[in-house]
Amino acid sequence: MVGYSVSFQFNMGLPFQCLSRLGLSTLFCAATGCSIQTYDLSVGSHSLFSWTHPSLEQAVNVDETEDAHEGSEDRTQMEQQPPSKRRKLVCDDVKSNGGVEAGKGKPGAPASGEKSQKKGRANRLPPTPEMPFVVLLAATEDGSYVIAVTGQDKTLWVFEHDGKGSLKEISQRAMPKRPCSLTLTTDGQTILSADKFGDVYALPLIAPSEEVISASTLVPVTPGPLRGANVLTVHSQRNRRALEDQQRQRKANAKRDLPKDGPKFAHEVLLGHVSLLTCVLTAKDAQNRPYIVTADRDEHVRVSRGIPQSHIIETYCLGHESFVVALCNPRSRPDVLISGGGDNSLFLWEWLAGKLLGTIDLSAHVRGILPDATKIAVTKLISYVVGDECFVAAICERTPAIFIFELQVDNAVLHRLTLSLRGNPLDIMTIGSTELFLLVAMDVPNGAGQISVFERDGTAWEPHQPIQDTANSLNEQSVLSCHDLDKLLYTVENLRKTGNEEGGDEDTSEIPEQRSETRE
Amino acid sequence: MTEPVNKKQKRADYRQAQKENGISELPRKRFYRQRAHANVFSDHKLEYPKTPDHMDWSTYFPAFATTTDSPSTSQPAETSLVNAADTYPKKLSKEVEVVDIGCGFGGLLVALAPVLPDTLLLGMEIRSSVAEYVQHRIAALRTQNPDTNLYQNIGCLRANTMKFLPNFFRKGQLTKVFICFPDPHFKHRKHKARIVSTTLNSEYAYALRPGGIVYTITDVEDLHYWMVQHLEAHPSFQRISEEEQDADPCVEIMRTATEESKKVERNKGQKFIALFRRLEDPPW
Repeated sequence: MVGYSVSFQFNMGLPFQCLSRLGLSTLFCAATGCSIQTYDLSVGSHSLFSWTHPSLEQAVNVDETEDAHEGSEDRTQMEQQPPSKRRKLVCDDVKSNGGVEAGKGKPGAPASGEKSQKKGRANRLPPTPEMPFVVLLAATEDGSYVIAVTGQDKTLWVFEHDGKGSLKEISQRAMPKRPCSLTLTTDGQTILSADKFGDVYALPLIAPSEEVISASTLVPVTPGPLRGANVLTVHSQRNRRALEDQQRQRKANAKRDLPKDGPKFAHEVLLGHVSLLTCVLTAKDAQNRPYIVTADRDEHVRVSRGIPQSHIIETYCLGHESFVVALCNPRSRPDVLISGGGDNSLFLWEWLAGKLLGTIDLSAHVRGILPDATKIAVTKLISYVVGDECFVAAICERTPAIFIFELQVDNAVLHRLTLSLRGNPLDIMTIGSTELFLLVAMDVPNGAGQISVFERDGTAWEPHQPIQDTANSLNEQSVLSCHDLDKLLYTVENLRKTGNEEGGDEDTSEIPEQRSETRE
Repeated sequence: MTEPVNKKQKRADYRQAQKENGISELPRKRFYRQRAHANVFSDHKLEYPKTPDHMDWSTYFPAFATTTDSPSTSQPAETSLVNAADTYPKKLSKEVEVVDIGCGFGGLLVALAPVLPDTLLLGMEIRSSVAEYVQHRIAALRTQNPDTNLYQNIGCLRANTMKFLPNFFRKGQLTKVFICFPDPHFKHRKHKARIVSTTLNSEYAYALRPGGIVYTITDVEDLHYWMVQHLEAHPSFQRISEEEQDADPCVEIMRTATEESKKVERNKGQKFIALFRRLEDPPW
């Protein structure tokens, strides 16, 4: 597969995996590995500013960084966390996530002989601890605040942007579960964070000082400890014996089964799916009322009312036959929604009515780039406007191209062009007040981080000088094999259901009931 | 440990005999037992429609299937876009309005069938063998009552309602949702798997029309408090008073007819009942 590294060597550079614009200027920020860098497109490849996750910054030369003191403070904070969090390993991750991410570890790319050899070798190596990679990056509309999520420690970081490219860390909040998607409410004051447990949390952009903790969650606090089963609950003699055992056990384990403390910062559960959430976005109707649109692994796109009525589900946009990953609500067409994921097509919706307007085949265009492609996993959808024409650009996992469609006023969607790339696109965005530049973060085989830049000429895109990662992040490279890096960068195809899973309940049907409490 | 093999063999023989003789006798539970817990987060091999319009109900409620071509055989025309031709199965003359989530062996359905003769009732059960038992039970009951329409209004299918309820029902389609003796999931870390939670209640509110009722019953006191707390905390639901609760004929059936409630009765256990009304959505 194009762009998929099959070498035995360790990857020589880390690609950029996330992009975010900073307001309407030519400034933008990009995440590579555990770092965030800011650039000015009009200046070029010279990075204006770099932030690195404190757990790594400590490992390198502390003296060189301006924020040395701050960094070490964060480090001590990290050390106070329970060790399980810091030492969480990639391979543990696969096991413990069970059903939800059972596909993980099976790479989507067809295994060539060379690659399976590499995999075999990788299996014998001691497991590498997962790096706190920046997995999500977002910014307020005006670019004055940047929000980032590092995956391994589930931490949500907020930075203040001075308008000149410098970021100042103003808060770090460890979320209960790993966030999968971020967005801001339309007023830019509240962060919405969707996680793999299916919940959407609302967090104030600026965290109030620690004394004013109002953990106003939708779920009420339980009065007193839960007592579980009692003598009147269970039925058979065997169960009764088991209950006695359980009660003894419960006393012994009382500490272990305490409800987990919620986060110590202001947060609110807005809504939840019983599925892994993949995307959250905010949209407005013709009356300017806000809505929250959420997508999950179980083919659902849900439309809920905005804060404070987020408990009301307005409708569902149903029709996907595979996971949904990407949602896009074009600015010039606020009434429509485009969604994509594991299906061969993009779906076009009149989202507020939950009405499918049509589907747009993508597989033929993907096969134009990769003739053998059988499965598609759309990773990102963006829209931009040229004059009064609305365009939608899609990228797919491990597919080195950008597919650009025109969304016409009558809701017809026409394929306009396919931009071939040198590597697999990881993120894509347009920047500038007239959306004159298209930026693509790419994974170039054995290359260092690179962002391809296209400049718009009419409705065509002309290649422009790319942005190269000049700031070194050597500290991270030494410990990551290609295999590990792939696992971190290509996660979307793993959402696909394998279809041979019975949740284990079929085979274990002979296990006596009472033992289920002790099994994991 | 030879027993499981025998059990499997006996089950296979029983299924074979059923196939040959047809289902006229009530099925025997011993051949359908399945571990009482299912992981609601795993994928299973579930079958569910893409949208409620894609659900073919005719196999579950053959007596209500329409014979004439219904008007909605295809989607509204999407001339400008490819892949538009999508056909829907025929609709029933009535829609399902009452759902028993986690219907188990179907005691409630069978008892409610004559009480709500003009309403379609659906049991939804995640354990495949148990759902199959209920399907066989309904088939047998229908065969045994050929001269009446009795038991034509109940059906059962295997589903994970925590994930796929909106795939089966339109907004506001349901009038009653029963949640009887759900899995208590005692451990704190398993609470997300409970069938009643504030976030999941939004989905029940979506499927229920305003005025619709959620019925809950359990023998676990803690779970009762949990369900009451979480449903009361949800702005779309309001607890129904004791008097009104006792006046509802469905409550008595729920209290006595389900297999679990009989089991609790035999063990002289307690039963906790709570009903909640779906309120109108506030102005927006």
